[in-house]
Amino acid sequence: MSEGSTAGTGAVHAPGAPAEQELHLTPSGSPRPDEPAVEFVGVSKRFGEGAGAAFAIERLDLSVRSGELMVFVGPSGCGKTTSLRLVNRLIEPTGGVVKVAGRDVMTVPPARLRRDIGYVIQQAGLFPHRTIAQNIATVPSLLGWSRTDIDTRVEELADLVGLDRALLSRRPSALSGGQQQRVGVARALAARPSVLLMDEPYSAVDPVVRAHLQDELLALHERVGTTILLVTHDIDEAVRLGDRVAVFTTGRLAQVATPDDLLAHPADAYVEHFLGGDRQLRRLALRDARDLVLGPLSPSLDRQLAAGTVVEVPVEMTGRNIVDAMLESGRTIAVVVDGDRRLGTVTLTELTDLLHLR
Amino acid sequence: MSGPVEFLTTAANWAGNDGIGARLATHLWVSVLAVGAAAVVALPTGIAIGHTRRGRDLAVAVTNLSRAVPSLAVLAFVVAAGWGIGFVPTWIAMFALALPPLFVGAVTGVSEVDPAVVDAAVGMGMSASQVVRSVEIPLALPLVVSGLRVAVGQVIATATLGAFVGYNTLGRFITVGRANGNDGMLYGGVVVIVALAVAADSALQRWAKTLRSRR
Amino acid sequence: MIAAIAAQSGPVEPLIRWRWVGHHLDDLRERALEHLWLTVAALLIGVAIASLLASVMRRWRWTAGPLTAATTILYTIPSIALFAALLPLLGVGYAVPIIALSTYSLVVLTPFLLAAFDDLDPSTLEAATAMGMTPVQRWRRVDLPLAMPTIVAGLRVTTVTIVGLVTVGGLFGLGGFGDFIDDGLSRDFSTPIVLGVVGSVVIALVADLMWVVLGRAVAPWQRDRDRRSP
Repeated sequence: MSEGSTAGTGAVHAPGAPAEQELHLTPSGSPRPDEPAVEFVGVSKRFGEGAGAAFAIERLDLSVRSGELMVFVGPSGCGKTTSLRLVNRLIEPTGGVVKVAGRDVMTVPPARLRRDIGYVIQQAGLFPHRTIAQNIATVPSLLGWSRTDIDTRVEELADLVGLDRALLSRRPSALSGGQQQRVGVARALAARPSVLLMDEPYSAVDPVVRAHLQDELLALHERVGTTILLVTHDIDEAVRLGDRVAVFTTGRLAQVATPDDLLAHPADAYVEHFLGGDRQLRRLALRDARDLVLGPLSPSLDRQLAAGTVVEVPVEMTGRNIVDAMLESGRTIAVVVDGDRRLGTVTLTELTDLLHLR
Repeated sequence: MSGPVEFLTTAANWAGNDGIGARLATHLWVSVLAVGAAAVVALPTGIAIGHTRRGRDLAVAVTNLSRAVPSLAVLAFVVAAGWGIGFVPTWIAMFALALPPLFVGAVTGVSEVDPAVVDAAVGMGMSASQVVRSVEIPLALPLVVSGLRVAVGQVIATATLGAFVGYNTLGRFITVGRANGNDGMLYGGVVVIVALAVAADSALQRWAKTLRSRR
Repeated sequence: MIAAIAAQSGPVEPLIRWRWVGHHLDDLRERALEHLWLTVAALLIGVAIASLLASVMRRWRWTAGPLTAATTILYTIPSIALFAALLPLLGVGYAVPIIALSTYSLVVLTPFLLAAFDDLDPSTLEAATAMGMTPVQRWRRVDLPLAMPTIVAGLRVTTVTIVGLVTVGGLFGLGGFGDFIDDGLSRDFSTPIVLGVVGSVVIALVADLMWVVLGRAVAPWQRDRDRRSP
């Protein structure tokens, strides 16, 4: 954590050249595709000493694939936030190894490590004395990017997270909670980190804004493809956002699975209880109507529609909405439409089968 | 340093009109009168402004600016203006000194009461005066008391200045001791003043602590 | 009203004799400069020692209790008592005012410096660390600027306190505008008293306003919350 390491980093980059590639922790510049982006190998963390010591995490093994959005979920005190903070060395492990892009984080100087890992927290943690643009530019300026590169990048990021450029010259206090959270994400992504850590990013914003931000995060993840580790206590958020979900119970992992798998096959009673009710309906909610179109458009469809024996559903709906439309209309066949175009049909039986496919 | 010990342990130095007892009484008398009068003026206005929050920032800003005026300047001005010597300038200067901390304590104390609590009180049907009396004042009390603590501390320390305008506070031992080259008297006086200031401060601190623990 | 009282007390001594003032302009300038430099010197020494104390207290937490107690006791010593106590030891000269004033300045300033850094939002600081700032970078770019408003508030209170105390020192012939007041009181002559009063009040108000302006300048991101502890 010495100034020396910083000076070293600065000296490597020719001024004016955004040399973020050099920053990446792997020698080759970009991680091998098969290499886990983040890996926990037998990681333990104990707080306190002697008899009063308590394990926050005990022998955690987990690997996060490159480009994956992994969600850590669990009740408070389960060790999920501790696990996240081990990745950027805000906490150091008592035992085991945490690797980022194949390298033990304990072998990388913390400041250097952290500049390659984005970090977003609940209240956004923006610097109140700096403008939005300066906030976003924090890591690039630490890395010694040129003025013009920084300005370009800041505007690019504002567009990426859907922030009005006019706000860039304002200070955080002038922004709403949702806008601050967007800035937090932009700031974390500024130097194209190899991993993005998000600690309860949306628990301080109201439900409507939260839903928006969640959608934006999914779209953003699709576009930039950064590996994301997100901590939440909200199982709905976990299922909604995660490519995979790691369910924590005090200090250990109860289950790691895709949201669908998790809802379909909870590993034990604890996970089942934590997931709550409506599991099958929630599985359907994870699927877009477009992916559910199973049957072809039969020639008799016009007739059936006229007779009212099928129900029409728009393509924006999820499987769950379709079931609801069926229940409401009393029909068991739905035809999915995109504007004027009919995409295909799906039946209640097909939906039921789908849930039991595995 | 046998001087001050000797001065303080000589019984004759405690008795009589020029004695430690009489000057201690004078010192306390002007302090109490000044702080009391300042409280009568500052607390109701401070509570009213804190309650309505109208003109609060301006009032606090002006008050803080007034703190820049040195007490000695007030004291000396009163004498120069010919309004009197002795008690009058001392009392006026001490009154002016006690006013700002008491006022700011009351204003911030009342205006920083959690709005949700006030809301709840109004929602339960309390009138404005009931809200002030049974919610805002009790909750503001710790800050009011810390304002009082500052006021008392400053006044007791500064009332010493009265000796320079012919008022026989404890400061008299300093002026007389200095004039006569009597270091025993000078240091003795210093000891008594410090002891009084420390005693008053710790008493008020203890009171403030009980108030806080009672919440 | 002043006139009425003056009239009752017989021969009319005006509040201020301008001719006397005219004859003492050099004196006035000298006292003003003396008042200023005593204030600045005490402030600088106070800032240096208070910074050291606050750093020690933040670095080694266990020292905070005893050190705070010590400064609190120092603060309860009335300034006149301190001047009077130091005088026989050090004699007339600048040593007494400098030592006494520096003591008060560090006593007033230290709690502000402590609070300035202790009250920073931990999540903001953690964000800075998590973004890869070294401790030195974080201190320069985040901690210090965010602590500035409280530090300036502390400097404001300290400056005003010292300006007032320099005046008190004048009663012991230690320089500054207080010398005029001492002179006036000792021979019941209002002109120098008024000069001393006006001089010290002007210096105090100007210094106070200067810090208010500076406080706004160092913290453009927050509306000036002009609140001192009562």
